[in-house]
Amino acid sequence: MKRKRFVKVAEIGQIPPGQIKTVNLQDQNVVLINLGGSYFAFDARCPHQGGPLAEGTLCEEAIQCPWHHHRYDVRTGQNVYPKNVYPADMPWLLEQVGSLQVYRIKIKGADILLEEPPGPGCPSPDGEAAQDAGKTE
Amino acid sequence: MAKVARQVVEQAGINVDQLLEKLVAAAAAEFTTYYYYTILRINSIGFDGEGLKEIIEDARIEDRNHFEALAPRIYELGGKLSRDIREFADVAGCPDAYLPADPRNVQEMLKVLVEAERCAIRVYTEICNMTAGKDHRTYSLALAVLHEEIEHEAWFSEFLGEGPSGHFRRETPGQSPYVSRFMTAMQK
Ligand code: FES
Ligand SMILES: [Fe+2]
Repeated sequence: MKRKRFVKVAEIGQIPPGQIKTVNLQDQNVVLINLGGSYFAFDARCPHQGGPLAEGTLCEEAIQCPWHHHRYDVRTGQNVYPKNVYPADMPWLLEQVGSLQVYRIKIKGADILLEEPPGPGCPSPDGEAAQDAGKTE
Repeated sequence: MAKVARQVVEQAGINVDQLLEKLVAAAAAEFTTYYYYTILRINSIGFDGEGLKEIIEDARIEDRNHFEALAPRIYELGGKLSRDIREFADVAGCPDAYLPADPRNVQEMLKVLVEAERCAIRVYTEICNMTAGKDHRTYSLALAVLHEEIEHEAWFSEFLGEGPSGHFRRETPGQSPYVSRFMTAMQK
């Protein structure tokens, strides 16, 4: 199996607690955040309609998109609102509440490393992707 | 459009087009919520539902009032409402407050209501943060709306049993104690 590659994208001193920073990973904008010393990374584009998540606000463990105020758990990428109130008998609404792509993070010394996303044809990361976020090596 | 009114806001360092996007999104969210709350209120029946009905009605009418109060400010700043209501609904700053699959489930109904109010609080907090000390008129309006959204959240949260809120009832349905002074174009 091909070994996962982690690349340096920032240093921990560049993101104070509660702050957001946009970095580049393989020509993709990725948002990095520091939640009380744990780091998380996710796509900069909101899965709903492409809203700029780097301009969003953090509320507890969720990032909130400034356009329509959907909220995503930064640890899993799951939509936590409005998926929680969308009625089960209107399944077509689920298309609007897809998950946010999250990235695995490693901290090596003062460096923040992100796992490169899978190439074309590979399955996309699931909700577990960022579970070990912020762990040091 | 009020030319100097826009100019002074720009000169204060606000990106007025960005502010207008937020105001239109807020107005659209009020308008769609008014629609959805109508359906929620109609379906609010039974022992628990009848108690909830009155609160939904206050919040519903006050959301309509918020739309009424926001519209003139949007035009003053040189913005406009979409000619197409479908397009307008699509830019709403908060998700649609759908009737739950089981409309007799009051807990589910309350979850929809309280989340809608929490979204509104976030919307107006953002507008207040953006305009504080710079665009006094928009700030004053957004703050008035924010007061009412916070009360709405407290009412529904109280109904969910999350804690007392000190709420009793409005003097008249949908009275809008904070926003009514901005509703200069309609009979309240
Ligand atoms: S684009 Fe992010 S919530 Fe709609
Ligand atoms: Fe409201």
